[in-house]
Amino acid sequence: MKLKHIILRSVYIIMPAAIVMAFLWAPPAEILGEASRIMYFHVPLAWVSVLAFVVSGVLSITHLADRNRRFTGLDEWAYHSASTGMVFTILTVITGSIWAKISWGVYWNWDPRETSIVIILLIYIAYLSLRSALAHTENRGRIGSAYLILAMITLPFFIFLVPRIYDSLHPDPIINFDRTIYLDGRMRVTLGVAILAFTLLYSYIVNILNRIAILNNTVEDTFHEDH
Amino acid sequence: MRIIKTIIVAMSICLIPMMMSTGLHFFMARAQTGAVVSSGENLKITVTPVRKDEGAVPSAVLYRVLGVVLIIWAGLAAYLFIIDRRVARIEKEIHLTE
Repeated sequence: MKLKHIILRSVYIIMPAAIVMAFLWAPPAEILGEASRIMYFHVPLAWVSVLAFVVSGVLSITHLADRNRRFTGLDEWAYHSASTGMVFTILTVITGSIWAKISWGVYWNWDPRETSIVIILLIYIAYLSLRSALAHTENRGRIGSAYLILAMITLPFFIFLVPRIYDSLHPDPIINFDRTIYLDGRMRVTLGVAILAFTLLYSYIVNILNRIAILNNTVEDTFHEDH
Repeated sequence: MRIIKTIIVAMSICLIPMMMSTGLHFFMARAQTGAVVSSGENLKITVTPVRKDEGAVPSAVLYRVLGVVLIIWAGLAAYLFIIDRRVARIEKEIHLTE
């Protein structure tokens, strides 16, 4: 078995470990109490969403820059990353809403960070629609890649700038402007393990989707060669 | 990919009514009190997650939630494992025939 597969499949051990640590090992937070444990899911999900969108953007840049077509299927890989990122973003919104209900009393109150995430979701839903509309078109890969690059450029604005420009109920990020981490030692370790587990889960899902795409292309090529 | 699309559509369908109901609640609350909930400086919550009860025994609810999360993970893990194994088997078959 390849090292890459061993690392990716370690998610089967690390994820349950992260879940058990989040519920039983990490101490509760001062104000939120036990409800704060949702942080070990909400923060890693948000991190993986951003990672997935950045990866899709970088793959799209590589796809457009690769004029000699040395790498095939990069646009498809970018699509897999973006669609997996969408699922993680929706899960981020759901966990964030549960957290908001506990601390603010409502699931949704159009906070700047909540509004930003809705706009990001809409941008990537539009991408999925665009890609579906361009099915069986030669320019599908190029147009989709160009869109993903533009979408990636908007990310820093919606994720980092908007919540800092307007007053927000959302707590400060874990690592603050003064580069201090307001977390207990065990909380920090649990959060680190959870981030690792969710990153591995994202990588594992995208890896499976990419392998399926490669198999599809191989079968199609063989079919065209035979006929 | 059909699975991912189905998940996205299902989640979006769940999210829209939730956002609409809470959005309505927000505007009604603002109409009644005149307060801007999302930008009120006085309402801003600062969370400093520091340790509270070192030796506190977790409640039964916590174990129940842990059980539910572990069951969800077990389902997802089983699904991924089955797909991974199938893909590996097809990869092997294709490489054998080439």
